[in-house]
Amino acid sequence: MSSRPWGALVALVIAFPTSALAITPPQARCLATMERYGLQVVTAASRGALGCVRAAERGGIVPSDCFGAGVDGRLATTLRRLRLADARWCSRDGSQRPDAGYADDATLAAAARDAAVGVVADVLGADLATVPAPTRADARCQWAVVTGATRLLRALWTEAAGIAGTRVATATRRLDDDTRAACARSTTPLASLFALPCAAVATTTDVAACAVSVARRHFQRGHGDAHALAVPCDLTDDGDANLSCVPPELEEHVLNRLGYGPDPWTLGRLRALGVRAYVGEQLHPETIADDAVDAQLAQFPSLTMPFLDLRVHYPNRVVPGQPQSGDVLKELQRAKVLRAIASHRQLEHVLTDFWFNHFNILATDRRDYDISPYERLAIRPHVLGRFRDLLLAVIRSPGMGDFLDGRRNQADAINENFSRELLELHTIGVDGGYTEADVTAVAHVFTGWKENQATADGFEFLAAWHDRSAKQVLGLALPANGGYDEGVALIDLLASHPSTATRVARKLIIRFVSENPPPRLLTAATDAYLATGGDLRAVMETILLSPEFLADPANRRSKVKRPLHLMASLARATHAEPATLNLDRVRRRVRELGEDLYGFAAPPGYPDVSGYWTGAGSMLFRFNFIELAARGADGIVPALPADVGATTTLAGPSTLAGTSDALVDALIGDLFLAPVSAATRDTAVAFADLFGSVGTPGRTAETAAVLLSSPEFLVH
Amino acid sequence: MTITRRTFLKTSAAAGLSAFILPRLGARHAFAAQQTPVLVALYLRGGADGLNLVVPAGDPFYYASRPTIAVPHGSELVLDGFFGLNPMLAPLLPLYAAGALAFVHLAGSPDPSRSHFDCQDFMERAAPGNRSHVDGWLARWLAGAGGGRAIAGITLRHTRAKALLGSAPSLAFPSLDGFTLTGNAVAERRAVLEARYDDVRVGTAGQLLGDAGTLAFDAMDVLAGVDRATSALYPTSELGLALKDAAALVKADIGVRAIAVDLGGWDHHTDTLRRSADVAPDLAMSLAAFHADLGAHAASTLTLAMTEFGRRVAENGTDGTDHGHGGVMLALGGGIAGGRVVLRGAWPGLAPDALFRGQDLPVTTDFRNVFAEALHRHLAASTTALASILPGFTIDPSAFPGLWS
Repeated sequence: MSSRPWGALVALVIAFPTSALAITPPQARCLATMERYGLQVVTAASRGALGCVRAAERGGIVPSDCFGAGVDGRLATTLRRLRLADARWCSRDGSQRPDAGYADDATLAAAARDAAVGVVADVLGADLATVPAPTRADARCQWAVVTGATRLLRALWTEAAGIAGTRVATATRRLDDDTRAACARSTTPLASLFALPCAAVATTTDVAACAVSVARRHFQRGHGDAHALAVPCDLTDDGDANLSCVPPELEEHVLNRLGYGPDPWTLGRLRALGVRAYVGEQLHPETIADDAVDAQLAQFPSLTMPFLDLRVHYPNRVVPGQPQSGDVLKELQRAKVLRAIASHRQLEHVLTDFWFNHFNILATDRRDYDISPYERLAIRPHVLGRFRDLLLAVIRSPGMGDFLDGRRNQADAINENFSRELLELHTIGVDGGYTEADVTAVAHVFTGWKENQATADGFEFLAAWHDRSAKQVLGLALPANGGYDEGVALIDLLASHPSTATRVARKLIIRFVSENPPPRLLTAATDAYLATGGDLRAVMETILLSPEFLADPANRRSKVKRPLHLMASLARATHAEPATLNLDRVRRRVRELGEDLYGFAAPPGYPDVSGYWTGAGSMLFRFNFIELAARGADGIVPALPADVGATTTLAGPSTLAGTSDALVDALIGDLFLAPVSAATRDTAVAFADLFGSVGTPGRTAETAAVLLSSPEFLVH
Repeated sequence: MTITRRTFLKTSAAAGLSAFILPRLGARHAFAAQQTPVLVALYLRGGADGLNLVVPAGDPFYYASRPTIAVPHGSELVLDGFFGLNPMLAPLLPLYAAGALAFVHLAGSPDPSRSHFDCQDFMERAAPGNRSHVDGWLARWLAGAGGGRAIAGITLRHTRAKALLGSAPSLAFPSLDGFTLTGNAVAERRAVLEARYDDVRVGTAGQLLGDAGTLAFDAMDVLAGVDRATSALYPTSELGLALKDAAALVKADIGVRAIAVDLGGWDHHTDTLRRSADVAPDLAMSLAAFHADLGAHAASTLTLAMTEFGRRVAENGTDGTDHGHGGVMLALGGGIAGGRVVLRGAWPGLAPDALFRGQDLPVTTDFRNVFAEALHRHLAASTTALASILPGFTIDPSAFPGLWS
C-alpha cells in the first residue's frame, strides 16, 4: 500500500491555514505512519461494529457490550501493531514527534475507534433498537445505509491520509445509489428503521443525506481528536462547512460588521436563522419590520417632508419655541444616532452611512433643507439597488447640486467642480483614464441639470441652460441636441466602467472586510458588479458570504471602531432603552471624537482606515466618554446590573456575586459575545480591587467602563 | 570681553528691549540659544486663490480677467509698488511692515494635477507626482532630528496630518484642554488602562490602539503642565483656538519641534467674495494674534502657510475660479527678513501666452525650495538630511527663495 507522507501534511495545512508548520522528514514519517494505522483502527472497528449489527439481527446480544468489549476484542491485534508503530516511528527519540498533528497512540486509537462505532450507532441506534427490522427488505435497506456510511467514513479518512483507496466522491455516490435501490422496496416508514439524528428522515433522499452528514461529522470529530486538530464546531456539528454552528467570534464579527454591534434582537435573529439566512434577511431590509424605531422617528417630522414643506415648517427665522431651519439638520443627526442604536435594519443603516460618505455633501445653513431629502431620496432607497440608479439620483439631487455647484452649471457659465469630483471620486477615479478635456466635457454634458423644489426629487432639466453642441467625452460621441439624455448616457457609461466597479468593490471591502482588500475577493466582488450591471445587493452578497469575511480570523477585530459605531455599540451592549437616549448628547460626543455627522467638509467623506481614527488625543476622549456613558451621565442610560441584584442581559439573567473576579466575569458575559483576553480581564479585576470593596457605589459602572475601554471593545 | 548674543541678552535690562531689537537684527540666529526652533505648517485646504490674496495691482490683465471678482482697484493695501494685499488680510499688514512676514508668489508644485487630494498628498509628502512615498516631509525630518519623542510633532486635529505621518511617532489632538483623563476614579483608571495599552495584541487593529494609547499616557502629564494663559486676543474660530494652543505649546519649551494646523474652506468655485470673507479675515487675525502671543518665541518659530494649488486666472461663470497651478505661500516669524513679496524672476504678466497651459499662474518657486530653506536655515538640517527629506529633489541653495537674506 503506497503512502504519501504529504497527505498528512496537507491535512494539517488545511487545518492550520495561517500557521507555518515547519516539519522535518522524521516527523512527516511519524504522521504518515500514524494516519495509516489510524485508518486500520477505523477499518477494524467498523468491521466489529457491523458484526454487532449482524449479531443483533440474529438476536441475543447486548448491544452496549458488543460495541464495547466486543469491538475492543476485534481491535486487539491492530492496537498492538499501532503501539509498535508509535514506538518505532514517533516515540523512539524526541525528534520524531511533530509539534502538532499527533498526540499519542492511545488518543489516536480511541478517537478512530469511537468514530467508527459512532457512525453505526448514529445510523441504527446506540442500543440497536431498530434491529432486527420487520422485514427482509427492511433489513437490506438498513444494511445498505449502515455499510455505505461506514464506507464513506473510511474513504474520508483515507483521503485525509493521502492514501490510495476509495475516493470520497465515489463512496458518497454509492451510499446514495445503494440506499435508493435497497430502500425503495421497503414498506415500513423509513423513520422507524433508523435512529438518524436529522430532522427529516421520510424519504430515501433524506436518509442518504443524513447518513452522509453522520459520516462526515464523525470523521471531522474523530480525525480531529485523533490528530489533535482544532476542528471548528461548524464542521463537527453536521460535518459540513455550512455555518450550522456559529462560534461566538463569528457572531460578534457578523453583528459588528453588518451593524453597530450585538443587541438582543439581532443576536436572537442571527441564532435563529444562522449566518447565511441572517445575511440574506439584512440584504432585504424591506422585509424587516422596524416599528419601534419608526414610532420614535415620528417625532422628527422633517425626515419625511417634501422640499417646499420644509421651508414652510422650518423657516429660516429664529422664533423661540418654534422649529427653524437649523432643526432639520438636528433631526437628521438625531435620527442617525437613533437608527444606529435601535434599528433592526442594521445593514441598511451602515450602507446608508457608507454611500452618503462616498457621495459626501456638507450641511451648511443654506443646505440644511437639502441634506435630509438627499439621504431619504437619493441615498437610502438605492443602497441595495443598482449603482447606476444611485448615481443618477445623487446627480439630480439639490443637495449635491448645491454642494458641488452643479445646479449653477450652465452653457455659457461652466462650473467644473462637480464634473471633476464625479470622475475623480464618485466613479472611475484618478487612474480611470480621464483627461482635463473630459472634465470640461462632462461639465458641458450636465449643463441645465438644476434644482426645482416643487418637483418630487427637487430636480428639473432646464433646456435653456443646456449646451446643445455635440460632445466627446471618455470616448463617447454625443451628437448635438442630446438634451437630458446625454447625462443619462454618460451616467450609464460611468456606472458600467470597470474602474468604477473596482473602486466600488474596493471601498466596500475596506468597510466590511479588511483595510487591505484580499485580491481574490476584490476580483470576485468586481466581477459580481460587472456581471450584474452594477447590482449592489449582488456585490454585497458576494462580499458578505465570502470565506474572507466569514472564515478568516485575520479579518476579525481588524478595524478600529469609528466614533458613531463605538457609541452605538456601547448603547447596544448595555441595553440602553432607546426612549431614554439623549440623542443630541450622543451626537455631540461622536463629533468630539472626530465624526461630525453630516459635517465632513470634503467631498471624499471620512476615510475608512483605522489609522485615521486613532490619535493619541482620541484615545483619551474615548476613555472619558465611555466612562460617562457607563454611569449613565451622558445621554446613554445603560442597563447594567446593579451592584446587587439581577437584570436581563444579552445572554440571559445574571446575578452578581461580590468578589472582583465574579463581578468582572459577570460583566464580561454581559458586554461581550466573544472571549476577551486574559490581559483585559486581569485589568478589570485589578481595577475593581483598586476601586473599592463590594457595595461601593459605582463599582459596577466604573468596572464596566474599564472593560468597555479595553481594546476588544474599541475594535471590530 | 566679547559680547556674545547670550551675554547681551542676559544683561539687557528690559525683556522688552530684546523683543524690540531681535526682529531688527533680523538675519541669522535671531533667537536665543536656549530656544529650540519650531516650524508651524499651516495648510490652507482647497486651493487658496493667491492672485486675490497678494494682488498684482500693477497688472491690467488681472482686472481684465476678473471683472467681477478682482479685488477692486484702489482697495488693495499697498505692499510694494506692484503688489497689494487683499484688505480682508489687513491684520497681516503690521507684521509685513515690521519685517516679520513675507509672501512667496508663483510658488507651488511642478506637478500639473488639479486634484485636491493628489496635490495635498504630494505637498505633504514633498514628492510631487510620486505616489510611492507615503510618509510626510516633517515626519522624515523628525525621524532624524526629533529625538524619537512623540511630543516633537503635533497635529492640532483629531487625526495626524499627512506631513507628520511616518516612522517617527507624533501626537494628534484637537485641543490641549481635552488631553487628559476625566470622570471618576481617574487615578485608578489611568493606572490600569496605561498598563493594558502597553502591549495590545487584539487583532490587527490592536497594535494601532496600543501605540496610540501609550503615546497618550506618556504625553498626558507633559501636556497637562503647559500654561495656557495668554493675553493675546484670538478669534474663536477653529484656527484661532488651534494657534492659541500652538503658542502655548511653543512657549512651554517642552520639546515641540513641528506643529501642523489646518484652515479649510478655500475651494472657491463660486462666490469668491463671500467665501473669502469666511476664511481670509480668520487667517489674518489668527496669525496676528499668534505672532503677538509668541512674544520672545516669535523669532524661533517659523510659520509656513501653503496650499495645494492656486486658482485659475480667469473667473468662471459663477463668480469663482476653477483649480489652477501657481499660488502664494506665506512665511511668518523665524527671524526672516520679511516685508517683501518674494518672486523668482520678473512678474511674467497675465496675458494667456505667459500662463501655464494658457490658463493658470506658472510656478517659478518649487514649494520644496521653500521647505528646503526653512529646514536648512531655521531647523538646521544638513544638506545630506535635506536630500532624504526631499527625495528626488536637487538641493540648490541658489533656488531657495532667500527668506532670510
